[in-house]
Order: sequence, then C-alpha cells, then structure tokens
Amino acid sequence: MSFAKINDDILRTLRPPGAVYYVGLALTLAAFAVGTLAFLHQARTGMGVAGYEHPILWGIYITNFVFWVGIAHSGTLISAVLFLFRARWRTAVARAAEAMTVFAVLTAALFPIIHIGRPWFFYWLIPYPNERQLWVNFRSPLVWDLFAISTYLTVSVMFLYLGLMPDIAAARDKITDWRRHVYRVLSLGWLGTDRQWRHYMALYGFFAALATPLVVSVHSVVSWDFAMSILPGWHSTIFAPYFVAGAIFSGIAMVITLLVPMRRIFKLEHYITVHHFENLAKLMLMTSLIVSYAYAVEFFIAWYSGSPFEQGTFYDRMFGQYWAYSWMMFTCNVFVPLLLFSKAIRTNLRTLFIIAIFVNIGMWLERYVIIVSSLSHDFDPANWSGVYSPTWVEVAITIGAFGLFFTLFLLFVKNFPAISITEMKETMGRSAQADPASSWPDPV
Amino acid sequence: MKQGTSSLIEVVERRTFLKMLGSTGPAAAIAACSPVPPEKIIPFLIPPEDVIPGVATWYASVCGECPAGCGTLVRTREGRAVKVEGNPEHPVNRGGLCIRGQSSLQGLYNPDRIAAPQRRRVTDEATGRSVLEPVAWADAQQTLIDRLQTLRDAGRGDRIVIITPALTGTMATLVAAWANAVGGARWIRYEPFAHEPIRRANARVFGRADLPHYDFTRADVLISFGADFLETFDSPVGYARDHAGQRRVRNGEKARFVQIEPRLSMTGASADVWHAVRPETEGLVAAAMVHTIVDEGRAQGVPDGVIEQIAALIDGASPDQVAGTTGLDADTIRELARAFSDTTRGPGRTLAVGGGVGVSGSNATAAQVAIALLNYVAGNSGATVDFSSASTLSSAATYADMRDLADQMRSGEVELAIVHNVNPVFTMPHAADFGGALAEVPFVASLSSLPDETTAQADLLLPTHTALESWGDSNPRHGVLGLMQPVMQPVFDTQHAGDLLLEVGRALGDDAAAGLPRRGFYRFLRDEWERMQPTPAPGPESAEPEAPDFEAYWADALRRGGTTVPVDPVTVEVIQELFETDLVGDLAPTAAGPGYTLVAYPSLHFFDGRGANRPWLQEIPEPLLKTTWGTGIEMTPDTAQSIGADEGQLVAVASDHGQVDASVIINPHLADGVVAIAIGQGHTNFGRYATGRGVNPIALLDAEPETASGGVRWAGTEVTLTPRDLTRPIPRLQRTFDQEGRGLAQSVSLAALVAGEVHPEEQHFSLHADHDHPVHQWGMAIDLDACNGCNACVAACYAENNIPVVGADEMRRGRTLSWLRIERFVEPGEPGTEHAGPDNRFLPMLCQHCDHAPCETVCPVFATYHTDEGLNAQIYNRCVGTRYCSNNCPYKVRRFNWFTPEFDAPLQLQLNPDVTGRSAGVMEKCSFCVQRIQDGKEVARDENRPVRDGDVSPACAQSCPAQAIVFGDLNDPASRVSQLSDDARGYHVLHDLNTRPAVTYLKKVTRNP
Amino acid sequence: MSDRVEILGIYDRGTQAAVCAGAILDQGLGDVVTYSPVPDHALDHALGVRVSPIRLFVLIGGLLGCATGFIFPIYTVLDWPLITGGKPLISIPPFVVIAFELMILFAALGGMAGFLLLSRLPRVRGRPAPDRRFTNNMTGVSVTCAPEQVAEVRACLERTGASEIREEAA
Repeated sequence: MSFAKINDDILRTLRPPGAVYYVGLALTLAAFAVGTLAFLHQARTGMGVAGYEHPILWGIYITNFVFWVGIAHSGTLISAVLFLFRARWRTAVARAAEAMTVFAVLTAALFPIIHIGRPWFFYWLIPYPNERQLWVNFRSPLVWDLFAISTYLTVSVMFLYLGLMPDIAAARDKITDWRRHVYRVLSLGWLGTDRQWRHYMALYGFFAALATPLVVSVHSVVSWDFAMSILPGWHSTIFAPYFVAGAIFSGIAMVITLLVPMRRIFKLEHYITVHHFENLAKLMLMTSLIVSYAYAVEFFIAWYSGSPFEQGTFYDRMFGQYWAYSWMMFTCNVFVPLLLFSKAIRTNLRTLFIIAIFVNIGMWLERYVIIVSSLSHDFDPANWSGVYSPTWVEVAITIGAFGLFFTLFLLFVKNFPAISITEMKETMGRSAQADPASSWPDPV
Repeated sequence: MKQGTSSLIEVVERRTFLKMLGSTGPAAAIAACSPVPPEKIIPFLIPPEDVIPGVATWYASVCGECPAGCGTLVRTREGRAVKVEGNPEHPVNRGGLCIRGQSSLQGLYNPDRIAAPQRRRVTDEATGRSVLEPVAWADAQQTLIDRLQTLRDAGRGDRIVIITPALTGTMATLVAAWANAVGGARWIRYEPFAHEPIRRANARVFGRADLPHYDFTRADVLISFGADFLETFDSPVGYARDHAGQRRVRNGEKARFVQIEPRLSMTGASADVWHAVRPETEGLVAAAMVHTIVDEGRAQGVPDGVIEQIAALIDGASPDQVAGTTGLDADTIRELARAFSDTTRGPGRTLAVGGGVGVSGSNATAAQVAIALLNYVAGNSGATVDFSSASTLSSAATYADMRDLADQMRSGEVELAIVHNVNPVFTMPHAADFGGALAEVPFVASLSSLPDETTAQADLLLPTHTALESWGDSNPRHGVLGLMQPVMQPVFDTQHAGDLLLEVGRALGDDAAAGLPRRGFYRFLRDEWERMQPTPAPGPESAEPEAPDFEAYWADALRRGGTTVPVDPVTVEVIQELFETDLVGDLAPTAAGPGYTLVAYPSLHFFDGRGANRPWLQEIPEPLLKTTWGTGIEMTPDTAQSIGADEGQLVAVASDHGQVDASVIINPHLADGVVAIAIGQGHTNFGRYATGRGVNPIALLDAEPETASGGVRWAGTEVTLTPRDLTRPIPRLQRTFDQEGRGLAQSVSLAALVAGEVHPEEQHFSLHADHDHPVHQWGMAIDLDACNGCNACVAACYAENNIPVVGADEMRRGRTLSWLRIERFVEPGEPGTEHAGPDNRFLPMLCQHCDHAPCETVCPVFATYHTDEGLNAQIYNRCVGTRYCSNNCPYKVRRFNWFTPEFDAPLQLQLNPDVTGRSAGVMEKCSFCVQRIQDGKEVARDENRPVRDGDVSPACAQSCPAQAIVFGDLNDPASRVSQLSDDARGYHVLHDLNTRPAVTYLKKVTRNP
Repeated sequence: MSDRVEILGIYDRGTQAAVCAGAILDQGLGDVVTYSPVPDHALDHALGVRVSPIRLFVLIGGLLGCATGFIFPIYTVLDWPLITGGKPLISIPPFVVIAFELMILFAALGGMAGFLLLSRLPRVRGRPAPDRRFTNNMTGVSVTCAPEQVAEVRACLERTGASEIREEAA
C-alpha cells in the first residue's frame, strides 16, 4: 500500500462530518450539560443532595473517579508498553487509545472536585505558598493521587502530542479549509528533516520507557487511596497489582467499545483488522484472569486472617445487602470474559463488542462494591447503615461525565488523525518500500 | 435531711464556687427579671455590672421540667442563657441533670412560644368560627378581670377553677390565697403521673397517703416492679446518682438489682436480671414473695401477731399458686424472696420499688399494697422507704378528680377556667374527653408559655415566663427548698404567672386585695423566705439570739440555689384496716381477652408529652430502640409475624376506647402478648416539632380510673392490631444490637473480677517513637457499669457544642450531627440460668482522640491533626470535605455537614459563643470540649497555679447523673482519670488496631457466671 | 556565503534518497538535509547515525524531579510541624511516592524541552518545507553547495533517480 494512499485514507477521516456525527455530538453535549447543572445544584445546596448515608461517605463519585482512571490506562499500555514489546499490531489502535487516555484522565480528574464538600476550595490540595501559610499533608494518599494524576495527565498529553506532530504536519500540507491554520500552529513547523526525526525517535522511546512505570504507579497510588486506610475490605496489600490489572482490563474493554464503531464509521477495515481486535481480546482475557485471581485471593485472605472484621466484611459483600451488585460484578468480570477462550467469539466483532460492554459495566460495579459495601459494614455494628441509594444528582453527574468523555473523543476523531499516519506508512507502507528493515531505533 | 446537710456542709469545689460567685444576688437578679417588655438582649448600652462580654455568668436555679425539682446552674453569656447544668450542691440531683432538664433551654427559646397576649374573637356567629388575635396586655388582663369580677360579684366565685401543675412553695401559697380572694375558686394541682396507687396503697397499709422517698444508697438488694426510676419515676436524676453509687463494686460485693415488668425499660436494661411478667401480675409476684418470707420465717422487724395477720392476708398467693398467672416460676420467686430478706444483713438493707406504668393496671393499688408489705416484712419501711422526706406530689390531685371536674364542666358547673402550664386535653385519656368538657366552659384563660392542645381551646392567652425567666421556689420533697431565679430577660412579651394573678386579683377590689400579698411576687417570695429563715442558735458570748441577717441568708440561698430544712424521722406501722381487705382477690388481674395487652409507658425524652416540642428530644435517639422523630407500636417479632406486619408498617391499633395508626417497631423485650407505645407523641397542636408526629397511646386508654386510687390505668388496655398496607418507618439510628463478638462493649463477671482474672495487658507495638505530651495529656474514662444509657450527656453535648438538629428525613440517612452517641448492645443471656434475660450494654461512643489517629494521616489539608495535649483537633476552616477521615475512623465518630445548619429563631440565641459554628461541607467531631479545657487553663493561670484535677470537665462528664464519665490529665498520675485508666476493668475499644485511644472504658460487671 | 546554491532532489523512495545523500557526503559536494514522511534508517545510515543527546535532558530532569520530591515535602513538614497519626514528621515512605511521580514528570518535561530545543522547534516564522509532498509520500534531499559543484550534484541526483530536481539560491 503506497504512502499516498495511506495518507489520503486516513486524512479522509478529517473531512467535514455528516448529520449522524452532529446528532451524536449534540447528544453527548446535552449529557454533559445535564451533568454540569446537577453539579452546580449540588455545590449550591450542599453535598446532602447526593444519596450518601452515614457511614458511606464515599459513593458514586469516587467510583467514577477510579473507573475513569482505570479507563485511562490502556492507552498508555498500548502505546508505550506494547511499543517496548515491539507488538507491531499496536500501530492501528495506539492513537485512539492514547486520545482516550487523555480524555479519560481529564474526566477522572473532575471527580475529586465534584466529590469534596467544598469544591470551591479544591486548590487547597495543591502545595503552593499561600496566605494560610499551610502546606499539604504529603502523608495523605489523596495528595499522592494529586501528584500521580497530574503527572499522568501531563505525560500522556505530551506523548499523544508528540505522536501527532508529524501527522498534524501531514494534515497541514493536505487540508485546505480553515483548519490548516490551526494545523500550521500545532505542527510547530514540523519539517520531517533527518535531524528532527532522530530526536523525535529518541524522545518517543524515552516517553515509552517513562510512561510504562508511570502507568503502573498511577493506578497503584489510586488503589492506595483504599489500601492505605484501615477499613476491612480496603486494607489489603494485593490492591496495587489488583487495581492495575483491573485498570488495564477495563481500559482495553473501552478501547474495543470505541474502536468497533469507529472502524465501521470511518471504513478503516484495512487498517484496523480483526487480527488487531483478537490481540486486544487476548489481552483482555489475560487481565480478566488476573482480576479473577485477585478476587479469589481477597476472599481467601479474609477467611485465612481469622479476623472477624475481615470475615464479616467479605461475607457481607457476598450475601449482605449488596449481594446483587457483587454477583453482577463477578458475572461480568470473571465468567463472561471466559468466552474469549473461543477463537470464534473473540474474532467476531459483534460478540467481542458485547463482551467489552459487559466488562465496562463489571469494572464499574467492582469499584462500587469495593467502596460502598466495605464502608457500609465496618468495625462497629452500631454504625452499619442501610442501602446507599444514589439520587438523581449523582446519576446526572455520572451521565455528564460520559457526555464529556465522548464529546471530547468525537471532536478529536474528526479533527485529528485517529490512526497514526506515520506509523501506518512505516508498518503497512513497507510493501511500497524497497528496504523492509524497521526504521524504529532501539528506544533508550 | 441527711442528704441535705451533707451536701451543704461538704467542701465547696473551687470551680463550683466561682460559678456561684457569678450569680450576684438579688440586685442584679431583679434587673434580670423586670417585667417590662424585653428590649434587645445584647449589646447593652450601659452593661449591668454582672455582665462582662466574653465571660460567662452562672445563676443557680431550679429545673421546671418535671416535679422532681432538680437544682440547676445556668450559664449565661451576654445576657443569654446558653447552657443548663446540674447544681452540684443541690440535694436532689447533686450535679447531674437529665436530658429533659438540659433541653429546658429549647422551651425558653422555643420558636412556637406564645409571644404576646391573645384574645379569641368570633369571626362567624353562624358557625361559631373564631380566631385568636394579639391584644395589649392591659386589655387582656382587663378581659380576665371583668370575667372574674362578674362571677365574684354574683357570688359564683366557687364556679371558677384554676388548674396548675403540682405547684409547691411560694407559688402554691400564692395560688391558694388567690383562689380564696377571687371568691373561693377551686384549685386543682394536676400532674399526669401523680402515682395515685402508691399514695393510696401507703394509706391502706400505713395510714399515710404519701409518695415516699426511696433510699437506694442502702439497698443491697433492689427489686423494682416496673418503676423506671432512672427515667421518669419521681426523681430520676437523684435516684440515678444514688443507684449508681450503690451499685459500684465494693470489697468484692455488688448490690443486686432485679427488674420485673412487662416491657424492658431503660431502667430494667441496667438490672442484673430482668423478668418479663404479664401486665397486672407484678403484685402477685410481690405477694408471693411476702408469702415466702413469712412462710420461711424470714420477716424482720415485724411485731408479733402482725405476721399471722399478714400470712392470713396473703393466703392463697404462694409462689406455686401465682407461678402460672405471672409466667414466673415458683423457684425464681422463692429465690428472689430469700435474697430480699437476707437476715444476715439485718433489716432495712433491701428495697422494693413499685411504680411507673408497670404497676398501673386495674389492680394497681393492690399491687402497691403487696409491694409495701414486701418492704414492711423486710424491715425497709421507714428505712430504705423513707416517709420523712416524702414527695410533695403526695398532695397532687388524682386523675379521678380531673374526671369529676370534666363532668362538672359538662354540667355547666364551671363558668371560668384558668389553665396554667398543664395540658390535660392531651394527657388525660381521650375517652374522658376533657377537651369536650373544656369547650362547655364559657370562658377559658390560659396562663401558659407554650401553645398546646389545651391552650388551643382557650379564649384568652396570657403568656407566662418559663422557669428560666421566673422567680420562684420549689419544694419537691419534705426538707428540700430550691430557689428559682430568672437567668435572663424574658425572650418574649410574657409575664410572671404570680405577678399576673396578683395584679388581676387586686383589681377585683380592696377586699380581694386584702387577701393577697401587697407587693409583687418577687417581694412576696422574699417575705416568705424571711418568714422561713431559721433563727440562728444563741451566740456563745451572749444568751440573746442575735437578729438574723436576712440579706446574707437570702444571698446565700440564691448562690446555692436553695436550702434544706430539717425533717422529723417518720416510723410507720401497718394499720388494722388493712387486714379487712381482700388483697389476694384484688390482686387478680383482669382476664386476658383475645387481643393484645397495651402498655403505655412514660418516655424518657417526652415525659407526659411536654418534651415533644424540643428538637433535641426528638432528634436524640431513644435509649433502647434508637428511634428518632417519632414513636410507634412496639411488638415482639413473634407478634409482628402472627399479625403479618414488618418493621415500619402501619398498624391500626384499636381498643374499646379509641383507635390510632402506628408504625411497627420490633422490640424483642416484651412479655408475651404485650404491645407497648411510648407516651408523649402524637400531638395535634404543640408547635412545629411535635405536631402530627408519632402516635399517642392515651387515645386508646379507658376513661375509667383505677377504682381504688383514682389513677389512670396506663397498662392493661386490650387492643386489636390490623396491619395496613402502608409503610411509615420510624428512623432508627442503630440497626443491629448484636456486636457479633467484636468485643466493643465488654463485660467481666463479678466472680472473675474478684478473683483477679482480668483482661490481659493490651500490647502496643509501633515502628516510631511516641510523640510526647509535654504539659497535659487529656484523657477520659467511661464506666460501662455505671452508664445507664440515659442520653443526658448527648443533650449536654448538643447544648455545649452548638450541634444542629437535622430532622427526620436526614435521620433516615443516618446523618445525625451528634458528636456523642450511646450505642446499645444486647448479649443473649444464658438460657436456664436466672440470667436468661438479655444482657444490655450501653457504650457511649465519642471521638477517642487516638494518639495514633487514622483520621489524621489521610487528611490532605491538615484539617485534623494532633495537639501536644493529646487532642485530636479538627480545624473546620481548613476542611475541604474529602470525608476520608471518617472512612478511616474505626469508631465512625466523625460527622459531616451535608447542608448549612439552620436554627429556627430564636433558638439561635442558645448557641454557645465559645464554639465555632460549622458550615456546609466540613467535617466535625467531639473536641473534648476544648473550650472548657481552655477555660480551665485560663482560670488556673489567673490564679498562678497549675491546672488541678477536676478543673476541667467536658459537658458530657459534667452532666452524667451516674458519674460514669471521668475526664482529666493523664500526665498527672494522681488524677482520677489516670487511676481509672489503670483499673483492672479498663480496656480500649478496638485496641488491636493500635490507635491508642485516649478514652478508657471500664468493663461492665455482670453477675453471669 | 551568499553565493551558495541549494539544490533539491525529490524522490519517491527513501532508499534512493539515502544513496544520493550518502554519495554527496562522501564526495564532500555539500551539506545535505533530507526531508521524509517517516523516520528512515537508510537516511540515517547515509548521514551517519549520531546518538541524540536527549537522553541527557531526560536524565537531568529525572534526577531533579527525584530530589525535589524528597526535599520539598521535608521542607514543608519542617516549615510548620504538625503531628498526624503519631508518625514522625519526616516520614520517608510516603515521600517516596511523591519523589517517584516528580521524577517521571520532570524527566518527561526535560525530554520534551530537549526535543524542541534540538530540533529547532517550534519554527514560528522560518520557511515552510520546500515541498508539501514531503509529509505525504515523497522524500527530499536538499544539497547546499558552491556554484561550481552544482553540476556534479545534479548529476548525482539524476543518477540516483530523483523524480524531480529544483535549484534555488540559498
């Protein structure tokens, strides 16, 4: 396949969109608006409008936070880790995954602010010299969170942008409408000279090398929000690896959820092939097995610990007032993914898509169960509460978050190459090239 | 007398003394009670010298919430009463104060108080519709004067009725004189809980219709037949104090306490053994015990001959004969009788108390006779049952009197009724229809502070001061005289009832005025006390008795909040008339019908209903069931199942006399076939907090009084239950009472304690060196053996720390803001043993101020951290509300402000200026009353001395009637709290989390093997 | 030297461009700059592979971040000492997390800065690429040489199969 064809095919996706696109965009924007209004209502009236029930003081907002941070992980995994592992097939999906990462982190970062009692003071968590002469408590996992999430956001934005730079230049030289001015600025005047390429490749390698430990640390830190507390059901050493695996699990599910329709709509069948999806499916299956193992270990340890508190919590999780959520979670995360062992199923995009949806739901429920059921049933039976039932405000804000995420993603795919032109030219353009050798240098 | 003198001569604590100094005698006090309409309370243009902005002024006074007449110390700031505490020098309560007394502030500042006089005007002659309209004081008084005048001139003064509470002291004298002056008006002293059966029974047995004073301090064995003496019975705060003192483990022994009643009361919850018996059979148990004692010749101090007569009287009530009826097996009864009449201890070392509604069925008097006899044969009458300092309730009217009055009203014999601070329309069985009767009276004037069902029917409202705004005195029992002084300007345009009556009376003409004190009520009060002042003993040098200095005496009485006068000891003997009665016959309970038996019991929070309009009393969870903002019908799980109802489901409760809809509350601790409803809710017209809330059992009761005594038959009404398909659950703050073996509320058996088998030393490990507490390390010790769950500390905390109420809907989500809660846990008893009954534990849970506090590390903004005095500080204005601290608190004692709190005006006047208000979105929790710690330190500094043990006591510790809470400096090895922390019973809740709490709990001591 | 000439050869294959560039450098005919749509090893070899010094930027950034991550928290806890949870003021374990995150952050920022610096980006004004197709499918070799060598260069470009040759003054 010739460079020119790849160039045209992919840049074609930037052509002015049709009605369907605008309808979709309108829907997601509406959802976002609803969420915003709900949040303003909450900030005005007080957290009480949410359904919190003492002692369940963390609820859907933190669930959403962890969920979105989790989503954010596959992007980096695919573009960085698989890059280091030389997994060629990543090329087709890396760009979409990276974009998804950035938008997911942005969405996630909103939830701590939505969640706190005085959102207008959220910046007090940032250590800066202030009139209160008070720094932040670096022992608090929430401060670790702040550092981890902001680092992750910065790095993944730079990673995405670096990858985009040559493609934006390509768009600049191809697109004729008003956007070309934007591309000119964004491309930073990229030329593609040998010097630029050399540094570009080096940096890309370093980013991959830095993002890999980062992606592991970020979700470990998120898991420590829970593991560092003394609450039965949270206080567990397995949480870091367990959450990282879970994050990648849910992330890949989301990638599949996004790519299947995108591939259809943009007619990118040649670029994103079933082979790619099958690899994603395999990865999802593996992480699903890791997560299942973590579940098993949690319950085993609870039993083995002999601690009435641990045992009580986990018994309650299985058979208490939240049993339905727990079993739905097991179904979605443990049992349904087992279907992926069948090649027929994992290579059939329709079934794969459905399974991915299941996993998305299951992973959301996992966080919900961990947070809510543990809090509802802690040390002192006198505190055990009734069933926490979210109010319309929480539901609206949750929907709004999806609205924001999909709005950003829709805007992205119509204005930037959703598949890396450069890498496509390299991997698929080989046929048109005499020299089949990879041009990719050894990273680091 | 005994308690009286002892408490007065005991050394005055320094801190108390300072409080006393605050009240600067009459002069300032007069200024504080001038009947002129209240002007703006602060700021003062020319401040009275006893008001220093920022410095609290304390006034000694008397609590007006119930007839017990506890002494209070009221803290005022800038002319506002902000807290009511028990007066440590008052012989009745000696420092403690119950939840209702604490809440009297919310009566004072109640937003629904009658703000000004009102008069009824008929708006529509045809329908007779009418409205109450504001009217000037002069006109209002004139209206009453004219009415009185016409009746008096027509010589129909005897058709005037004035209904008041069981007034005592000067006010009583005044009303008596007034009634006389207006032409022989009838005066009825009405108390809903007047204990008629006890009075009648004592008349039958000893010839004295008295409600005696029970001396718990000498009762080695206490058997209570339904008497809720820790809640509402007679003088609960004083009794709680005496009881707790007597129940302390001394040289290896602990007084025994057995409760026999159809429904487990809070009092019964702290008994060693609780026996559930069918209602109306308690008397039979008592009789059977007498039977055993006489039979086995264990009677003590009973003259020869009388024994035989008693034996004859109770013939046919042997344990075996009553066992079937009572549901209590014969051996248990015998065992009880033997323990009760332990001859080795000698006479007068035990006590049987019968009372409350447990013993108020159709055979109440007979039951009380049996109980009186039980005390008599054990030699208690005149000893632990003390007639010398009998309650002045003895002379209150009976329910029967009120019923007759109602009949007279219907027959038009009453032409003018004056109602003063009583609410018979609500508190009398509705079948008696007092409301209907009152409607027949041509003119009804109400001299009340708060609008209620009775004032709603009045033609003229003359709002009066509350106790906290009034001069007055109280004489709750012989020998005790409390002095009540106003602590602040009247909040509303009200008048002192005494002054009002005087002015009205004098206006009736000179002859009427002649019969009345010449000057205002305050003057009259002083004169009365001057008359009472004992002439001091002749001085050593001169045989002449020196002239008594009244001013000094008066100032001293004001400072102390009253005085005591000697009473002559009274010995009692049974009278022969007793033996002409058929006791055993009278004891027979009414035959049980097909329905369920209703027990209407007085509520710790609402008493007879007068507490229902206090938001604190509504919000603070009921001690046993932890229900808030409402009452329902309590039934056992079996009963609920048999009628097919679940918790929270509405049930139509119908008796022959009325019907109500009540929500089901599951309560396993009821006798078979018994359902129970708390008295005090179900108001139809009692302000925003009470109206339309809960259910009123009085609507179901029989109008017929108990024949012998004329008291209300609170227990024994037959009801039928029909579930409705509606659910109206009552918010309950605690969902399970089972601690699932988690050892939160621990106990140790007396045997083990004596044998020294105590909990092994708690091990503490830490990677880090402990941080040091250079000056103080504040700590607390809570004795679970003394705590009886009475919620007084909770109310004190609400008052001291400006804790807002959140209301029923928020309560459903458990969003109370209380910094202190009393957890109740029930351990199953051992079947087969006498301890088959439930083993109740009350666990006051507040911030443990852990040295290694999990909440502190997780806060990103340092909103909570540890002070070097060992306090876990919460800095509200740093808090951003991540709520992580609460998640990480194993005790879950932190509370989050979901909304910005609101205080209905003028309740905000009660707020304590020493404590920051909290806004929406911040976390709050117990601060160990850091403002009181600060206060104590400042006082010490001003006196150039270190802080002494006892200088600082948080609101909860101060208020505890049972003195279960001790606070102090753990750095001081001599302090009480340090010693208690090393007590053999000491343990820390969840200590294995290594949080190193500053609160040490002392295990409950059980008799279980 | 104002009189130097720039000759641009446009190839549709990176390999030919590489051959050309290599030849021109070997003969020292002039300075060579190549333009390509993708990174091309062949070109790199032709122009002589040099390791990018970006690694230094990354290293310095990382070290800086790590140091900051420890020093900053320690400074703050000493600036206003507050006891929490009975832990020592300077409790290293939690600070490790901060240090790690800052190390990654600063390293990445350092790398990015290095990249922009070294590749002369952003070029706000500067001339655009000599041909739009370089970001699409064509590879370009731009030789800057003295006028007398123009002929040789052209010959070299033609020999290696440039599909188009342009000449313009530098």
